[in-house]
Amino acid sequence: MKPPIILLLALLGCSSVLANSNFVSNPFLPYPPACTHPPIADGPVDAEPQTAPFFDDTIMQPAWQTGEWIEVRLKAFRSRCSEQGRSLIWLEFSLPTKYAGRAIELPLPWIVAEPPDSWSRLLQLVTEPGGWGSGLQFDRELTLLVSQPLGLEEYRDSSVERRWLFLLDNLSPVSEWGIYYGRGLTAAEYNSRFSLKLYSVPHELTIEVPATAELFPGPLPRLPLSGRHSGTWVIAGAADQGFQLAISEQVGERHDYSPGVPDLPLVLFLSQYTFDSQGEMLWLTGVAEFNPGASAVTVPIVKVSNGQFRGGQTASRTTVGSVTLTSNSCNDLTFDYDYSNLGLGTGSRRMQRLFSLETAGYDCRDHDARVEANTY
Amino acid sequence: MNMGAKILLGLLLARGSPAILADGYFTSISSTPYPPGCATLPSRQEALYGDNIAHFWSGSLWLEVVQKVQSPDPFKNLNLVDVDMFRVGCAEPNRSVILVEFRLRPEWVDPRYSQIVLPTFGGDGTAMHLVPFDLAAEPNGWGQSPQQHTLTKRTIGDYTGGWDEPRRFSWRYVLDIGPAGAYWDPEFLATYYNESFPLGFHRSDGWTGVHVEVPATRDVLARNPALPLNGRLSGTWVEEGAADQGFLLSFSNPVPAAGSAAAAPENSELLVFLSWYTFDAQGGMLWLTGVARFPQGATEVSIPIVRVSRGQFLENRAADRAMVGEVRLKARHCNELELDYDLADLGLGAGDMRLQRLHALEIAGYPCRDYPARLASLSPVQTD
Repeated sequence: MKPPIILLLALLGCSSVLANSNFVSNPFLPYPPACTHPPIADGPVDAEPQTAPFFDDTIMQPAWQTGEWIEVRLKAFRSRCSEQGRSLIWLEFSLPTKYAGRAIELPLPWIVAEPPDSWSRLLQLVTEPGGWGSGLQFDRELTLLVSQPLGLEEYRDSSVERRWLFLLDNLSPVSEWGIYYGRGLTAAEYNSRFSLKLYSVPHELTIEVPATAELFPGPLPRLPLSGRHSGTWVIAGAADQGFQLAISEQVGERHDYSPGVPDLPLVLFLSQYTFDSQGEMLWLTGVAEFNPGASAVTVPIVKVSNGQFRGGQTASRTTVGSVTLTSNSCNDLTFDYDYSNLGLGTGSRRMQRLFSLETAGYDCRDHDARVEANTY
Repeated sequence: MNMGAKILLGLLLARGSPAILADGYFTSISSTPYPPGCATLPSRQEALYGDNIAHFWSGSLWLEVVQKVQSPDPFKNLNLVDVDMFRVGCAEPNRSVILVEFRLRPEWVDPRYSQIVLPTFGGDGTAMHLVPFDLAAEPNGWGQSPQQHTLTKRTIGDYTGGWDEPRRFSWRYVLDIGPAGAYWDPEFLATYYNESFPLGFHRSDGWTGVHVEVPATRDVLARNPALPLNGRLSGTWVEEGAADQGFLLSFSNPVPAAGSAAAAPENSELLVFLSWYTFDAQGGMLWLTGVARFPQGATEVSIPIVRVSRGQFLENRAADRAMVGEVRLKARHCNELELDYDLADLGLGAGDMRLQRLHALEIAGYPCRDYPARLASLSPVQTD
């Protein structure tokens, strides 16, 4: 590593003053952001876990302060996404109960991926997936695993293992290491077979990571409807018409403060701009509430007429049908409609994203999948 | 960890049932004490929000610094670290983000091994108000669970070697609410964070000897006059008093078609898709749409407005498309857009309007405002 190269790359990196989560998503994630969530979440998404372990063994790690060799159990597994050929790779470290009550600090190993037909890439373990990474310009973060005997009752309980779960991710593209190494693994590389090398001083461990397709040959799971489905949607072949979806959360009437439990059900606002049986302009809207974790929601559809431009005159509102939206993946919704009252019949069509557009800074798919699908 | 902190942590964990729905699929973290639309990576915050920054504290602390040869006695590992604290203003009224910067002194740095073990922070010394703050390198996140958080300890350091330019040994973080803070009343947290409060530093060995008096946001900062247009403004918007009509906005970041060159993330344009559901001069149904691209950081955008007619329901017959006017959209803050329109061609004249969120709805998992600000806007009268 030559300092002038680093300097040059770091300076180039400085131009990215506005590349942040306010505006755009991190395009260097090797997995769909909608597939990931912090390891603390083990709720409805994992109600039927589709995980496949591919490594489970005890490794020896030196304690950071004392140098003593400590037994650490390491498990590695992939968990499946609703996107075709996509999964997440998780690494779980745990300390056997025999170390209960002792203060032990272990450094996390350096992790390098070696794809079969490409160069090696340094990776990192993250506790918070889907983001830009640390954002530290000049350094990467190091995490220590610390087991402290003080404080919590459960950590003095010898039957409880200390456990840490991390997602295997690319380096942050805004860190110096990310800039130096360039793009990390592509989504295709992350989901193919590759070797994972753990440089945990002084021993090196190699784990063979199987491909996503090898581990999960069955049908894809459905993706729960979420805010990441918001945006513009179209039906292929239906010209000059489309949909806008806003999936929102409501606030109010909160009685407790459990993190992540919404105050009220989520809200889907659907608008369809299309044409009536005479070819005249028709806009239809619908609102429905649904509980987190649902992958289908039925929306009563309303036609509004005889209103007043920017005025307070109440318009005529008529419920003219219903629509059921079913989420299959980030780019695939099933649109079942009943517009018999409008003379437009019933039917079932497939909705897709217009120009692969997704909410800025809040993508659903990984960047590669969006580019691949961007054929309109 | 001192006894007060242990008791507090124990109480918090006892309350903390498994957060089964706590994930980015469904809802945002309600305990963020700053507007998510304001906070960005600490290293970008200044570039984005300019000089609306108040530097309110500067000092030095003895912190645990890891060197090549580590002593088992933690007191022998202490080094003097320079610390600066800032408030960075937001477009929301009376809101800011607190940044903390650490600097290792160059003469004490071992370029290959130096790392700081970060301190933790408490909002006050009393058991009732020990708000557990945390340092976040990436704001707006869920962080770790309290259980996992107590088992990991972040250190920051340098491993590249050979290039010991002093600024390499400074690191900036957002002062955020830690995972344990997720169990606090979010209304209390945002208020507390933006008022004046005492902030205690807790070193890794449990020592707490420095309290900083953090000034209130309103005493040191004015509100940013505008908010850059961004994806968090997506959703449903209405004009107060205009019945049965409204807008849907989608802010996106387009990707190139397969096979074409991709722009670097910092250079990629954003795209706004606006649809306006309203009525024509005769009270008939009218939907208007518009698409425009704009550079990152822009606070306003002009959108040509199109009316589409004589199409065919779910079929591919091309409709008639006519350019019928223009709209200019500007974001004042997360719950207020200014919209100037010219629809003279449709006989609807020109004008301007103020748009607000419908029922404080914001995109699930991707809100713009903090929770108490959204709650406050549910009341019909807004003063800001």
